[in-house]
Amino acid sequence: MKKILFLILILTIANFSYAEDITISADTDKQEVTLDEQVTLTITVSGNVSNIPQPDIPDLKGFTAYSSGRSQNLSIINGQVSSSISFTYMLVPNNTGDYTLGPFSINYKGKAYSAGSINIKVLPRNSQPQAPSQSNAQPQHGKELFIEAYVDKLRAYVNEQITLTFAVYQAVNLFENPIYNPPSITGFWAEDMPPQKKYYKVIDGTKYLVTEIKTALFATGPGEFIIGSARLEAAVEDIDKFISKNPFDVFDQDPFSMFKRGKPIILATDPIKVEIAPLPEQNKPADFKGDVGGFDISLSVDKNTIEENQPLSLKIKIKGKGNIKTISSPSVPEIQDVKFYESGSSENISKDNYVVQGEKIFEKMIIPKKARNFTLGPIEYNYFDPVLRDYAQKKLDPVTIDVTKSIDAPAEKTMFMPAAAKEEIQLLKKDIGYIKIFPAQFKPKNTFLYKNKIFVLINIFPLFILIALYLYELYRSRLRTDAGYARSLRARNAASKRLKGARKTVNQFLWPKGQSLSEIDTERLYPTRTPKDADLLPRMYKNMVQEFYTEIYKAVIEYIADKLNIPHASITKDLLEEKLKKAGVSEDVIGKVKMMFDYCDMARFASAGFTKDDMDRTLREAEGIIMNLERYI
Amino acid sequence: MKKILVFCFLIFFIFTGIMVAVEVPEELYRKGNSSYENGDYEKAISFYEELLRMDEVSPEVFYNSGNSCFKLKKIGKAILNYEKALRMDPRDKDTQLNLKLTKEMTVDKINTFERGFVLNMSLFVYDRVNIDELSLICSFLYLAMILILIFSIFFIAKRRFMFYTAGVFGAVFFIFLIFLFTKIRNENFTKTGIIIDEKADARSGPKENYLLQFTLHEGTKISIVKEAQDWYEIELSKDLKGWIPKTSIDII
Repeated sequence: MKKILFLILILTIANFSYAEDITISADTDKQEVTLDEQVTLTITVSGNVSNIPQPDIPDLKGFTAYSSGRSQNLSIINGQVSSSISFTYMLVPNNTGDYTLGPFSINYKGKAYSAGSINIKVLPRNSQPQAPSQSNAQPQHGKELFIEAYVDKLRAYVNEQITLTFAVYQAVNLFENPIYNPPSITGFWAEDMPPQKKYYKVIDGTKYLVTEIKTALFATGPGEFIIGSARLEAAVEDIDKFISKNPFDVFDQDPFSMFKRGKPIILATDPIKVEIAPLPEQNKPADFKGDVGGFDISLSVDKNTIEENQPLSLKIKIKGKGNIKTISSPSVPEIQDVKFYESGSSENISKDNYVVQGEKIFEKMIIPKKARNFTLGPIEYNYFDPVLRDYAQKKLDPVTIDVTKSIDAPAEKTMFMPAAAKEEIQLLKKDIGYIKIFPAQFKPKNTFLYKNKIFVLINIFPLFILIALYLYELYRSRLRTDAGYARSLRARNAASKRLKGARKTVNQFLWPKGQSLSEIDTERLYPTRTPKDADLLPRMYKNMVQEFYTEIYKAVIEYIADKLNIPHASITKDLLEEKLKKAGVSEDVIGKVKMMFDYCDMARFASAGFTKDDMDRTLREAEGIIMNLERYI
Repeated sequence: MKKILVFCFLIFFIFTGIMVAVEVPEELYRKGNSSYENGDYEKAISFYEELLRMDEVSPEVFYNSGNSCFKLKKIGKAILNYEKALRMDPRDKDTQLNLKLTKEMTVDKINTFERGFVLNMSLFVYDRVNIDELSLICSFLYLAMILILIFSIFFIAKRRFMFYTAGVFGAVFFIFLIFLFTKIRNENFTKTGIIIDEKADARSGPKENYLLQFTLHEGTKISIVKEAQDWYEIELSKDLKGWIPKTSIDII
């Protein structure tokens, strides 16, 4: 036991000395930064543990953070493993002011380690503005990578197309694909316009690869809107390091690091302010629905002559330049007894030359309810032309449809019905099943099996059998298991048997009334031939009397012994008296029992004076005693 | 020899008597069916009703009678007969179908209590047996239980197992006994009726001059609460009661 404790102690000490040696440090590349620069934050976690968790980065106020990777360093010195991981973040300042970064902490095996905080001052932009805000872009010459965003017009009408162009100029190779964060464009309906345009452009002797991403914007309401700044995250070859101030710096660095990972750069464009003019109220047509651009309208029907209640398909096509998706169906004047059902619309949009254009087709189902010719239209379509700065109207010539009388009178069934007009199928025409023709089984009404007396008896009878069998089994098992109970059950029978035997004994012989044993003249009763017999008879009489009283005595005493479950061999009068008292037999009865015993004893030894009446009385008394005892025991 | 002859005559008479008694309902049934086939539905109904008057019933008679009523557009009577047929033969598909079809033609929409899936499953047997079959099932389960208990007295070694088995039988028997009592109560002691008139006005009391509360139409099933002279007090749901003349209602 002691050994084990010692071992555990040693192991815990070893564990302590070996593990949990983690240090965390945070560093930035500069303390002061302008709004258009960015700060590199490096958090280094080192220790002699193999898997170091990611540190928690607190909310970096005033900055937008981008993770730019991690590098791991593992070294084994004198068998001691130590590793360090650097997590690098690019921080882009959002506002000027003094900010505090950190503290940074790390949680390892339930223990927290933390590094101190860093103060950073964010200065306003340099005097020369960086990004061009309009189409007259001023690329920053001398830089290997820059971006710009511009719109084709700064003033536009509601729902007029504005094309936003985001261009990336690059003169260096980029590691990985740059990530483009599109600007926020609240208040506009945007439509991406692929494909990206790529071309080369030489600016001040530097050949740039230009990538342009264009987006069509449609303002949803009038007012001033700001197109937010677009961002580009990229990693470029870090040439600066080679041509930095001190060429020997290179040798301090890991010579392969520049090949491994580029220098992360985050570029952002300036927001662009756009002014959206409302559509003029002057000359505004009544059913103008807000479509802006240049459109044309056409109409087609699938047939000019139809039967009544037959459907006719009408197609209205609007084609042109503008926000196709928001075009709504031109209104068709209503006609009496003709039903119109909208059956959908389809659109086909193309973006040739970076202008949103295409066509939208509205389909309508027309069902004339009466055989009367009708004229569709004229249909007018109004839109606003931003070039002319006025509303324009396109008109469609009316189309006349001939409706003929239907040949089938109830056209309802064959008629095409749109889903909404469908009715539940009525089951009125379905017929019932045919009658049953096979012979039937007849029975009197209201005769049920449960009312049948025989059925009820059949069900009740086994219950009685069960009860009877159960009671019998109960009795048998008591006899089997309880010997005392069996004896007590048998006691009465045994006693009455003995008493019966006693009576039989007496009745075997003739006995004249009133004569005692000594007075009996046996020779007169049984005339004998031989003197030997004459000598025998009185002895037989005497024996008979003795036997009678013995039987009576035994009947009573054995009855009591059986009832009280006492072995016959060990019965004495005193014991019986005691047991009877215990069993709750009244003194009166006990007295009678005692008297009976005494009387029997006396009779056995002095039998000469007993008459037949005496014996009969004793028999009745014995029976009475047993009857009495039966009540108690 | 004479005795034997007399005995033979006796037996002959008894048998022919029974034969005649059996012959008559079969004959009426056949007549009813052929009337139906000839399209004389009124006559068919009279034959079937004659059978009922003779106290001879069978699900087939009720079913055919129902069909005849249906053909005569007596929706209420048709439903009544189908319900009666279903009580005697609850598994008959034809009757179920015809009843469903006929009920669709009734006017009144009564919100009946919808049984969920569990309840439907537990009453699966209940819905598919008539009173006699239910009595037999109960009897069988009960006798099986008693028999097992009797055996358990003699086979002491297996007594415990037998007690459990008997207990299972007893539990199932108990459930079926409840079913039986419910069915007997529903069908023989609860009065259910069907409106057989095209329209029946339910009034607030058993006289024409009482307030007219609502009107029921032919084929609607109602339960009868009370009766007074020529009127029944009927109940549609807990809060919808009224008095309707006896002539408008037929008891199932």
